[in-house]
Formats: sequence, structure tokens, C-alpha cells
Amino acid sequence: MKLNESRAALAHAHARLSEKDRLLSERTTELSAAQAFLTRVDAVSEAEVVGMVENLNTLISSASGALSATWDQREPVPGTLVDEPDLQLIRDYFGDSMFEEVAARNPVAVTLAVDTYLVQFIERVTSGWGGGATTGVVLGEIYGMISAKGKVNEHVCSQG
Amino acid sequence: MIEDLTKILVITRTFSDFSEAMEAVGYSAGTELRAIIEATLRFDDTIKTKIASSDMSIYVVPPGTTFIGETMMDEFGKEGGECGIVAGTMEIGLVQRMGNMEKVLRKPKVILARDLPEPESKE
Repeated sequence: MKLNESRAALAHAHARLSEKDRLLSERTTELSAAQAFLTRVDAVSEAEVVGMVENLNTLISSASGALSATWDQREPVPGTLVDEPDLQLIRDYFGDSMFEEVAARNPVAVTLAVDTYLVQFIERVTSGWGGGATTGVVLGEIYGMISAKGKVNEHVCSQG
Repeated sequence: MIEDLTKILVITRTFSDFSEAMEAVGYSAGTELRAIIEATLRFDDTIKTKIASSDMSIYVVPPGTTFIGETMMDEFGKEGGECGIVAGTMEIGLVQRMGNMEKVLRKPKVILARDLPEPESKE
């Protein structure tokens, strides 16, 4: 009787082992197939991406340098052209002391304010989910506006 | 973009007309701003379609943040910068994320509020 029970238990264990072998084999096959999709190879190196960031920083510096021509050669005029809510937004963002330094035409503060706006702009447009297509639409519109502005200015300058 | 930059610049009380200010901004830096947009598009495409092994993103420090030397670069690098308050970010940084790991590949360069030189008009 005990021998029969042992044989039955052994047969049951064999059956369970076979089932586990089958499951292991199945999962191994599935994982091997998935591995091809999980293998991640970058098309560009870290150093290249860091280089792109350095290039952006150079461009930011160039833009704020170019923009200094719009204000540092001119005498201040009375009054302000920005609505109070917008002024408050800018003040809230930069903080009171930085805002006052910009208002006082501190060259470092004005340049830093422009830089800070541009870095935030880049951060904002690249942090979305959309990727190239969505970002391209957003930036394309801005690019078009700047280009149009340039044409207006070229027209004005050619007339002047 | 131009309108926002103009709003910042008119705080300096340089212009008497907002349209004139916007035109001045576009005229003075239109080429540079277009170059920034082009480079931003290339960068965005790269981090989202050509980097698959990790997530990379721009790292900037909002004004008012407490300076942390491990993840930020102080433009003037003076002693005691660890306890300073950031006035603004002048250069973007780059951060890489892999699972729970985060690594700053390029520190953002900042200027601390206490390092802003006194304007000439105040001297």
C-alpha cells in the first residue's frame, strides 16, 4: 500500500515538474523574443547631447548680448508699458530684489533676467511629452513670428 | 517669446512704445532667437528619439532656490555659496534618469542674489 502511495506521489511530482519545465520553456521563449525590443542602443552619445546643451548655452549668451543693445545705450524714460498684472507676474517669478535690480538697469541683472527667461523657455518646450512633432508645431509658430518680425524690420530699415 | 522678452526689457524703462520695443527686440536678436529655436528643436528630437537607454532632460534652477553645489554651478564661485539664494539661471544643465538613479551630466550655471553687483545709478 505504501509502495503504491509512493509511486502515486512520485508520478504527481513528475507531472508537476514537467508542467514547470513547460512553463519555464514557454517564458524563456517569450523573454528571448521581448529581449530584442528591450535592447536599448542610443543613436547619439552622452557627450554629443552635452555638446548640444553647450551650444544652446552659447546661443543664449549671444541672444542676451544682442538684446543688451536694445536698452543699455538709451536713456530711461518715465512710466511703464507693462500692465500691472504682468509686472506682478514678472516680480513674483524673479523675486523683489532681482526685479528691482532689473528696474534699476543693473546690467548683470538685466542680462541674467533675459538668460533666465530663455533657459526656462527651452526647459518648458522640451519637457512636454509630444516629442519632435508637437514641439515642432509650437516652435514653428514662434519661429514664424520672429521671421515675420525680422521682415517688418528689414522693410522699416530699408525705408529708413 | 519676443513679447515676453520685451516685457522683461521694458522694466528698464527704455521704451516709450511697446510695439517699438518688440520691434527692437526682434531686430536686435531675431537671428539669435531663431538659432535658439532651431537648436532647441534638434535637441528635443535627440533626447526623445535618439536616446533610448535613459531619460534626459533640461535642468534649470528657478529664482529663489537655495544653491546646492552638488547640482549647480555658481558663476562667481565665491566662498560660502552653499547657503546662497539663486537669482537666476544663465546656462542650462542636463540631467539623466535611469530608473531611480539620477545623474547631473551638466550643471546649470547660476548667479546668486548676493553676487549681483550694485548698479552704477545706486553708487
